[in-house]
Parts: sequence; C-alpha cells; structure tokens
Amino acid sequence: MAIVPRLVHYGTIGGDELLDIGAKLENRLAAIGAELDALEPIVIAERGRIRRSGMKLAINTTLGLAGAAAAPITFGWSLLLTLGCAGMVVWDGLDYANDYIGYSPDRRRLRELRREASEAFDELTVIHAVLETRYRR
Amino acid sequence: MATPAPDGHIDLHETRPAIPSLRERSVGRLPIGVPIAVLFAGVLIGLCLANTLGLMLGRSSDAVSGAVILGVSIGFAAITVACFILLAARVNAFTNMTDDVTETRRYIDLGVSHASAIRSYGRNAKSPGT
Repeated sequence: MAIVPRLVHYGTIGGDELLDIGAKLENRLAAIGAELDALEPIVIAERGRIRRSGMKLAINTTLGLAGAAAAPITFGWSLLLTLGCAGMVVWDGLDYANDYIGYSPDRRRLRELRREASEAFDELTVIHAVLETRYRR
Repeated sequence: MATPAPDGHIDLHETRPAIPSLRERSVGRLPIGVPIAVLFAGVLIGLCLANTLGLMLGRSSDAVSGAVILGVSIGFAAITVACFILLAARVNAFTNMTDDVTETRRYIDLGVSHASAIRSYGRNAKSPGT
C-alpha cells in the first residue's frame, strides 16, 4: 500500500482551488509534452546511429578475424587486414564513448521529464479522485 | 480510478500505468543485429583460436610463427570485446531513453484525461462543507 503524505491534504482543499491546481498541472503536462516532442527526434536519430555502429562493428570483427584465421594460408600477410580492422574498431570505440558522453544531458533531461510527468499524473489522479468522491456524496 | 480511503489516503499503485512491454515501445527496439553480431563474433573467435592453437602445435608457416598469430588474434579479440561492451552500454542507454519517452507520453496522456475529467466538474464544483 503506497501512501503519499504530500497528496493526502487535497481532501481538505476547496473545489475551485482544486480546479485551479488541475489546470496548472495540465499546463505543466503540455509543457512537458512540448519538450518531449523536441527531444524525441534525437532519440530516433540515435536508433539509426546504433544500427549503423552495430553493422560497422560486425563487419570489422568479421574481416579482422577472417584475416587472423587466414594467416597460415597467406603466410601472415592477412594479419595486416586484422591490424587495420583493429584500428577501425578502436576508432569506432572512441566514437561510442564520445556519443555516450554527448547524449548524457538529453538522457538526464528525459529522466527528469518522466519524473515530473509522473508527479503531475499522480496529483491529477488524486484531485480527480477527491472531486469524484465529493460529487458522489 | 482510485478511490480515497476514509482517512483520505489513496493507493497510487492502483492508478499507475503498466510498464509497456518491449513490443509496445513506440520509439525504439533493441537492434537485432547486435546479438547476431555477438554470436557471429563468438563463433569466429572460436574458429580463430582453434586455428592458432593448431599452428602452435607445429603447423606454423615459415613467414610468421603461431605465437604471433595467436597474439594478434587475442589482441584483436580483446579490442573487439571492449568495443562490444561499449556498444552494449550505448544500446542500454538508448533503451532507457526510449523507455523514458514512452512512459512520459503515457503519463501525459493519462494525466490529460484526468485533467479533462477534472475540468468537466466546472467552476461550480464545491464539496459539501467547503
């Protein structure tokens, strides 16, 4: 049973004030929605970048290991392919770390928006329940 | 719709939207190529190590010794595994972002429906005794 003491006092607030609070929370949700609309294209773009990164890594891994596996047949020359792919993989790894750090502010902001939306939703739920209970009486 | 208990407490767990399953996520799903690439890389690493082990047991070529091939293979495998770990961290962060977007949208939708219901009570909503 989850009890949120901060919200319990809504039962003692007048109807007009509850309506005002509800309107403010609705406006806040609209603002959160607008900010989310601005951040969502970044998330969608990140999906495409991850797919490309996964494919590049798979290709480099395949070529590099193929080079190592073929070393006995090619008298070691295919190890050059492995070393080249190793360089590419290191380069990609640096890109991954760079992207991971670069998206940190957006990740934090999305988490904050989720928390704020959750809190607004909780408060609206309680206000709705309080009003409904009053009208039932 | 949650109903307050006589003491005014409300169980918000009853009103929480369910966490969407992976299939329901609107923005992103795990790139299927990543686990396939990991599996493929594992098979190739196994083949490569078996090959180099065979070389070390006496089948090394004249130009390069089995130890060199083994060293290069292990070094390359280590770099690749580190890169896969970085990519997995990035995928995990991306999944969290899509979860946040989906959950926030759901909270907004449900919150707006509550707000609309609250508005419907009108400016004359007064409880008895207030």
